[in-house]
Amino acid sequence: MKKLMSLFIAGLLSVSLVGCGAGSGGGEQGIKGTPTVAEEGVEVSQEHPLVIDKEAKTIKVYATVNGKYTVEPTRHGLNFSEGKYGDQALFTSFANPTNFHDAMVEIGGTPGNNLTPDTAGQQIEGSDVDVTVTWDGAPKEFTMSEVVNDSTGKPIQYKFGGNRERSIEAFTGCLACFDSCPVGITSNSSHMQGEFANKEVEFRGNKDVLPADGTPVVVTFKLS
Amino acid sequence: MGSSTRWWKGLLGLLNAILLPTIAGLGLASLLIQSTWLDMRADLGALSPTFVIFAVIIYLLNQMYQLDRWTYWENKKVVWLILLGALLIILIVNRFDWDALTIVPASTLRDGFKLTFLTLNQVNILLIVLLVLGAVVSWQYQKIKLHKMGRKIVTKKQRTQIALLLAVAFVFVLLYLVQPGVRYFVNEASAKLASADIEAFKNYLQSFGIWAPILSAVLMILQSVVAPLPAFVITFANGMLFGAFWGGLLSWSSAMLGAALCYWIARALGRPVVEKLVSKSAVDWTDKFFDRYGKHSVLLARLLPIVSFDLVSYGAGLTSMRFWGFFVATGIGQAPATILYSYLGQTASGSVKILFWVFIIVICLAILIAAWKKRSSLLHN
Repeated sequence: MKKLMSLFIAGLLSVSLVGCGAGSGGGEQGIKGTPTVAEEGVEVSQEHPLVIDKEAKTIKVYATVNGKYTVEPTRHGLNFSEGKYGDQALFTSFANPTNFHDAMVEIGGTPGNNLTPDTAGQQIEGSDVDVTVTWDGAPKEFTMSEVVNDSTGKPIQYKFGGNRERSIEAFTGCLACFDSCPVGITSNSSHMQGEFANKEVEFRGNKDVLPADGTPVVVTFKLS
Repeated sequence: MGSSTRWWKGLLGLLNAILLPTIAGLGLASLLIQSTWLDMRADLGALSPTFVIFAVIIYLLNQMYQLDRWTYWENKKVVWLILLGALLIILIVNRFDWDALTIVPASTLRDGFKLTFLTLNQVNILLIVLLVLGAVVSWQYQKIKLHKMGRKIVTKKQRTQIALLLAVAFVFVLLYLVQPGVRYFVNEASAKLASADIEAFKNYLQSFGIWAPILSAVLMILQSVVAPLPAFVITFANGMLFGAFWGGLLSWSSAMLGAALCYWIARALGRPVVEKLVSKSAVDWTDKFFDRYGKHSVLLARLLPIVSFDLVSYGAGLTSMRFWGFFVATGIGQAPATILYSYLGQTASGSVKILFWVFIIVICLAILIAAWKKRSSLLHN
C-alpha cells in the first residue's frame, strides 16, 4: 500500500513536470553564444574581438594560436571559442560567427550561400576575401597561405560563403574553414566541399612561421 | 591500524585513482587523435577527466562495498601497462618528434581538463610530475598493501546492478564531455528549461484554480502518512506557487492535518501497524527519542529538520501524550521551517528553481527505483 502510494505521488509529480515541459514554448530563435557586435574605431583585443572598418572594407578578429594544429591536421581555420568545435581550429576566435557574418555584409560582402550538406564536391562562392594574420613582433602581415601548410600546395583563396542560418543552427563556431564549407562564414575555395574529409588534403599551421601556442593574433579579412 | 596510517593510505588510494586514469586517458586520446575524423568531432582530451571521475567513484564505492576486483588500476600489471603503454603510444604517435611531443599531449590534457590558464610549457611540467607521481604513488600503494575493502558484502545481482548503473552513467558522461554536439544539446536544453519552463510550470499548476491548493494539501497529507517526499519539498513549491504567506499557511495547515492523521492512526491501530508503515527500527528509534526528551520531544523534533515529520507523529500517537499538547507543539515547532522554506520558495532565483525541480525529479526517480526494487525482491522471494 505504502509503495503504491509512493508510486502514485511520484507519478503525479512526474506527469505534472512532463505536462509543463510539453506545454511551454521554446526560446526565441536567434544568435547563439555570447554576441560580439562589430565595433568601429577601437583597437582589436580580447574585449573588442570584432572590429570593422567600413571605409577600408576590413574586419579584424582577435584570436589565439592553437599549437596542437601545427602538428595535427585540421579543417578548421578560425573558430569561435564558444562554438561546438572551438577547440578544433588552428586559431581560436573570440568573435561570434553570426556577428562576423553581419559585419561581412556591412563592409559590402556578397554571401555565396550556394552549398548545403548535400553538395559535396562543389566549390564555395561569394565575394573574394583576402585573409592575413599578424601578431605582436611579427615581421609583417602574413597571408593565410604563408601560415598554413596545404598538403597539395594550392594557395588558400577565401570566399564569403554566407551560411548565416546554418551556422546558427549547427553552431560549430566556424568563421573560416580550410575547404569549401556549407556552415563556415568564409571558406577556402581552392578545395571542394568534402576534400579534407575524403583525405584528399591536409592542413597544418606552419610552425616555422607562427608564434607559440596561446599567442594572441589578429586575423584580418579584406574584401578584394 | 592507526587513524593517521589509515588516512595516509586513503589519500594514496585516491591519488592513485586520479593519476593513473589521467595517464590512461591521455594515452588513449593520443592514439585516437590519429583518426582525423574523430579528432574533428570529439574533444578527445576529455577522456582523461571521464576516466578520473569514474575511477574515483569506483574507489569510493570500494570503500563501502566489496567491489575490489573493479579497481583495475590498482593491479600491478595494469599499472605498468598503463604507464609504459601510455608513454609508448605518446612517443610513437608523435613520431619521437620533439615539437610534437611538447605540443600534442600537453594540449590534449589542457583541453580535457580545461586548464586554459596554463601555457603548454606549464602543462608539460605538470605532465612530467603526473607521470613520476603516478609511478611513485602506485609503487607505494603496492608496497604497503593499502587495499581497504568495504565491509558491506554485495550479492552478485547487486554487483551487476551497480555495474549497469555505472556503465550507463559512464556512457552519458563520456558523450557529454567528449562529444561537443551532445554537450551543447544538454546545455541548451537546460538553459531553455531555466529561462522559460519554470514559469510555465507555475502557470500550469495555477490553471487548476482551487484544485491546485487542494492537490498540494492532499500531497502534504499523503507524504505525512507514507513519507515518499520530504515535507520541505512541498512547502518550497507552495512558496513558489502561492507566495510566502498563502503558500506558508497552506503548507503549515496541511502539515498539521497530516500530523493529526498520523497521530490518530498510531493511537487507533497501535504499534504493529505503525511498524509496518515506518519499519520496526524507526519506531524503536522514536521510543528512545521520546524517552530521552520527554514532553519536549515533539517541539524539539519539529525544530530539527533532520528528524522525520511523520515518524514523530506516529511516535507521539504511541505514547501517553495528549492530542492537544502534541498538536500545539507541532504547530509551534514546524512554524520556523515552514516560514523559511516558503520564503525561499517565493524568492528563489531561476537557477535555484531549476535545482529544486531537478531535486524533485531525482527524488521521484529514486522512489520509483526503490519501489521497483522492493517489488522485484518480493516477487523473487
